[in-house]
Amino acid sequence: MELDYKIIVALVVFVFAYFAVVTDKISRTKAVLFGAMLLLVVGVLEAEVAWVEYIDFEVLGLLIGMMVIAGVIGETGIFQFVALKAVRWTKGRYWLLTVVLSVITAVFSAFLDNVTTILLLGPITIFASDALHRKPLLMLITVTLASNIGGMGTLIGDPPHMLIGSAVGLSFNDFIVNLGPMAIIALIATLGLVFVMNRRQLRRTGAEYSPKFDESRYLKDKRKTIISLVILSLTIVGFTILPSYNISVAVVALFGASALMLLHKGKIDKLLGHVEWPLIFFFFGLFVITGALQETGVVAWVGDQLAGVTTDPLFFTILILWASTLGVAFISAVPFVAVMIPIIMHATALMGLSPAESEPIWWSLSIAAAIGGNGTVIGAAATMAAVSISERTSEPITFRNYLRYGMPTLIFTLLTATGYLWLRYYVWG
Amino acid sequence: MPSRLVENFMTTELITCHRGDKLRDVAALFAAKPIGAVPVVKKDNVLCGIISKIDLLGFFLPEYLELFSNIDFIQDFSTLQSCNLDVLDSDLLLATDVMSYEPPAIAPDTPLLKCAALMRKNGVELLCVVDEENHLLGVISSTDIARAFFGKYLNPSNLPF
Repeated sequence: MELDYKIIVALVVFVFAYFAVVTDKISRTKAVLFGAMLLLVVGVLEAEVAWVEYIDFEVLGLLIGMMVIAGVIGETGIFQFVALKAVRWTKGRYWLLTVVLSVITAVFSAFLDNVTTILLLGPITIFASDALHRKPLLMLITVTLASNIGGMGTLIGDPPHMLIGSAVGLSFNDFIVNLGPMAIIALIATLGLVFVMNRRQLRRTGAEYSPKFDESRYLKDKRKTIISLVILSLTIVGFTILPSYNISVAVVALFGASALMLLHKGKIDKLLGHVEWPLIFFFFGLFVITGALQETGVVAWVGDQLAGVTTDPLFFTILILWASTLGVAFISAVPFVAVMIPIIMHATALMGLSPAESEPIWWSLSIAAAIGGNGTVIGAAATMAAVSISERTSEPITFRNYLRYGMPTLIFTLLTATGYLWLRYYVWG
Repeated sequence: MPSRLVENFMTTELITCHRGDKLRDVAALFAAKPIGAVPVVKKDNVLCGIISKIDLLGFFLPEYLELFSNIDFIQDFSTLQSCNLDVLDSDLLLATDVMSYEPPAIAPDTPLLKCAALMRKNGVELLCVVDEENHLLGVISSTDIARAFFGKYLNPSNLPF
């Protein structure tokens, strides 16, 4: 690889942007966007190439559409309604409630944005713990872990999955079939681990508890609730059917979102306010930066080195799983996965793997994106949201007390995932 | 109307507390007088904070309740563990634990209309009036301002009470 000024500029921008992501000293979106624009101004990447080849409007459209739908569903109070039903149904049995709330969170997270899920269900979790005269820390952390794991199961559950799905051409159904079972296994494993680690605390029966709340008061607008649930269901059905008619998932999501906005009485600026624009622009800038790394040949060079490590697909799959899990835990999922995708594409092509043979590698990257986020407080956006919620309780989540749960969970689910990938794709596959 | 300055309408009979005062003594002030907030001063009457009635009420309530978009669903707050009404019995809670630092303050020669605008902007009902060295001179409440502007409509013969 010959070093010319373009490579140096691209690398400097890359290091600057990732430094911003890891240290959080300046806003990651500001850093990435500035770096991306610098690359375009200096001419490392031509704007036309960037727009056409590297900026993935599929991902941006899918994100925007799902954020609007999740935001409107959040307004209706259905999340809180379901969670409060669970509180009533479990009749104050603390461990059962923890399990049920975790499952509810995982299901919501699989189809809607994890951060939205945590922002709406986190307060209910604290309320429930408080009403059961328990400290909320354990339940809140368990629910957060479940949220990150739930996102593992689908294409739309986790933004890195959208990146992988769109770049590699894996469909919504592919994700459900291949990662759905893994998400269920990982959730069971995580809940089992939490139980074993806290069995003394959990076995202690809680105070006699008669729920004095009325969950139906959370559903203020029945019409809005029904409309948004119908549109969400139709959108998910659309994800499973329409791609085979050449209608992309982004179109399905944006169609659902626009229909929902049309039927919604709210003002358009408020509805579009549900879109997390900093994340959208973060992706936008990231696409340009990884594009520059590809154009200048940096990605190909790293891919060459990676392909040189091994030719064995099984070993390669496991290597990607473990290395990416660590990378995600310390760099955070989206930027790590964004740059790994072209590198792995290059490496698998070099190793002569067919698309079918390289599929397990993509599943391992997808799994890593979800479970790596559970390792540290900064690993996933949903965890950060849980931390800010917990600051309103007597026992906030800190870097240290989170690590006590996060790291064992990460290691345990990583082992489970290794077994899953090995058995499913190399022993039985 | 140039005479409508804060200094002509402010209250100079001050009810204040010190940073080290026990919180329950501050609470007693609210029980005794219809006031919305108590300025907190350090020595030489220098303003250092303010405790509003709402801040103090928030002390009894679990903070996470603010995260809910509506709290109508909770029918009995007393079942919540962190609703602790006896919390003020403690000797350990001091005025500094609740007060907001650097409260919005104004100079005595501020026009009343500006004062009203500041109240609206900051969402407060009471502003502290200070000199250049931050010595507390008085307080002006929304009631004082209302009296200044609406007083002309006051007609003793048609008062509703």
